[in-house]
Amino acid sequence: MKMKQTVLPGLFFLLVVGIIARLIASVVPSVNYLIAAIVLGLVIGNVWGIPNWARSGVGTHKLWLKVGIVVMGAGMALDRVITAGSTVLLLVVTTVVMTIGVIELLARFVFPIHQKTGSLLAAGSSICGVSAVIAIAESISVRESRIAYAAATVLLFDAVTLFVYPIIGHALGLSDTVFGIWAGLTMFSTGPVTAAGFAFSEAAGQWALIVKLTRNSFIGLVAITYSVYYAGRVNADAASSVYQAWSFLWSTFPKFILGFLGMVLVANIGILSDSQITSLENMSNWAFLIAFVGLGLEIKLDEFRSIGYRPVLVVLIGMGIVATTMLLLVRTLF
Amino acid sequence: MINIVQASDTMFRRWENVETDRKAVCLGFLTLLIIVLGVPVP
Repeated sequence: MKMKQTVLPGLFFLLVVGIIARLIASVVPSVNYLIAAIVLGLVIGNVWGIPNWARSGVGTHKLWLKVGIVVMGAGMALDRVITAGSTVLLLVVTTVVMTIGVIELLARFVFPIHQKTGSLLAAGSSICGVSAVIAIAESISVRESRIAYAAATVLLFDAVTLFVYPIIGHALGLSDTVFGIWAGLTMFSTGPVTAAGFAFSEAAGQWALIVKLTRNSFIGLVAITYSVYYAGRVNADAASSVYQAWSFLWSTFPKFILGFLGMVLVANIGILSDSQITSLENMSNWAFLIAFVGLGLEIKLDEFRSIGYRPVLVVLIGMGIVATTMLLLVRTLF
Repeated sequence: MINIVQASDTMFRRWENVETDRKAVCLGFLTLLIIVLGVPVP
């Protein structure tokens, strides 16, 4: 019964903090409960730390984010996914290519940093945050310290954009669709994108999720491109044969996206009643609540002190250019 | 006779080794099953 002893106390802890965050959000006007959950987790984690007995349960927060996303598929209208499909795909490809290009140029010529650190930052900014940094690091063999450095930079931007994006969205009076697509295209990790999207509105959250998951599915392709690029200098491994390339693509592909798509299909063939879909959405919201408490608890403000100013400038300017361009483009298209 | 404690311990150990993405898909569809069977989430 090891699992009961280790994971359950932490899960209970996440749930209690989540419920307190929900209560706070219901009392304080214009505070979204998902943002309240992250802030409360962040305060507890940085002031008192995570209690030892809760550690392994808190560590499951990424699982709950993914469960929430899979189940959220039930509330997604298939016609929306299909109608926007080709435009979203084009926007995602444009964003990924543009982000990699801009960050690589800035990291090489404007604020010179180590080439591979620049590549890790480009991957983290263009695809899906820390998981992209790790996937690309595996494909191009990078020193451990560079991975930690790039991951910390990406996490810093995750923590900041999570709060700044909804503020910008409201200040500019963006529609739910425009905000959701923009956040899904230009923010980094899946957790903060989901939180910022749903903090803005339900519809914005759904758009942000669709766009972000499309972007995440490019992780393998970008990792292979980088491994081929660096192969000439180091060693040819991941992309040395077609079979290896496909198996690498599959191994890096975020499989929970398939669960999300499966759920979209099941919900849209009409076997679920409205009340069942509402129940699934409620379940998804509970999963997000505990996931975001865990996300907040694991943001370590101390770790951001070790980041140098150059990587921060590279990502800040790169993100500024890409986010502004994409916002103009999305506003024109939708 | 099957030792239930030992069997569930083995099951949990196997579950712990499953990749997070696959766990998420399993739990997601388990939720769907529970709800389709008529137990709504509060």
